[in-house]
Amino acid sequence: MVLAVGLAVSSTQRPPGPGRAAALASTDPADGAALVGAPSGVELSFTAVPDPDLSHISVRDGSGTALDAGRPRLVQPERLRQPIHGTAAPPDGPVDMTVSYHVIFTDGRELAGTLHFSVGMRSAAGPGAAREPSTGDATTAADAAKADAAGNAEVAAGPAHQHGVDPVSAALLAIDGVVALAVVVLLLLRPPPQPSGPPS
Amino acid sequence: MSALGATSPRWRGIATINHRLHRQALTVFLFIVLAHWAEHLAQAYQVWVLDWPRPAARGALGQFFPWLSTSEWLHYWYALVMIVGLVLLRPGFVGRARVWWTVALLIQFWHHIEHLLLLIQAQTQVFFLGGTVPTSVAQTVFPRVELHLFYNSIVFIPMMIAVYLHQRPNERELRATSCSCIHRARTGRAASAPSAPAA
Repeated sequence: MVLAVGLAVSSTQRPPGPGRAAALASTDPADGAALVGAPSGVELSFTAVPDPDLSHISVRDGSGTALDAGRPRLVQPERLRQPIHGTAAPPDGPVDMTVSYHVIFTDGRELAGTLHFSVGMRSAAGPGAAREPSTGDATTAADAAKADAAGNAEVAAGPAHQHGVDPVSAALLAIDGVVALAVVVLLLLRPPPQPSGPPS
Repeated sequence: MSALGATSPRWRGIATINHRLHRQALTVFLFIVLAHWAEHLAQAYQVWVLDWPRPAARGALGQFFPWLSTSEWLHYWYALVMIVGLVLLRPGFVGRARVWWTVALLIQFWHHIEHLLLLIQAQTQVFFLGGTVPTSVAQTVFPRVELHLFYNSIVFIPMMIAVYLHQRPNERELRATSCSCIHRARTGRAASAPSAPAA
């Protein structure tokens, strides 16, 4: 009965709708910035409150080396900071840095995107894009970019940030259901033990 | 009192819930376990049937109290409640049921240790096992697993087996136990009637 009530409540509820769409308000460094020296961290400001435990930000240099140090944290109610390891511009030229982010907000909405900046006085590659996750197929280039950004950031996140169905949990849930059902059926089919002598 | 699997209760409260009130105490404990599972099943329904994004799938109660589904402290306290229940109700089990109940208890004890490791890492921001986020021992083997759901799943199975064997004991176990679960079946009297401890 508890499960039935729970399912009924779920069916009448709706996941948090867009309302005011969450968006990237500003970044530091700015997208496309050309810096002389490497920053100690990357800060992203949004128009909604991100959940740092469910969000991840990946920072990689031109060779693909991950530079993020630790988890992102809130420095202001709507601003996340991702510390990064220092990197020096190589003598033969500046380094292009790619920041991929996948942010989950406290109301359940999510946002993914990328931005670029360079360290060493050369302008970075083209502007990044922040998009709301689409509900349809990822067939457009914009959706592919969002998925790529989410994937890059998710690789860096580890087990703390998961999407989709976890096959291990799904299998265990199914096994538990089968076991519970089997116990109920066996209890109904097998009679309780009968006393072998006079009641005490 | 039969020596088979039974203990001499040290405290009157523990003695009561493992004899006269064992059935009621077990019912309350199992209600908590099953209500917790109902929330996880509601979450699964929201994700797999209603196609909600996972952060929004907070179960039934979690829709009104979001912190219920995201609080690591709450998961830790639930693990603790489970351990306390498994320990307090263990003396009432005998024979095979007691073996399976003990298996559930041992797994749950390790589950509690895993959550303690996560809590310590989350509070100190010092991450173990080479991780960059709080990482449990199980997550070094199953990187994608949801720790809370994993351990509750593998504790649930031996617990259910123990409950079944406790309700359907063999002759030897039937003679050894004196809790209200079996006593009711043995004498046919109502569960609320006081029962004398077995000799």
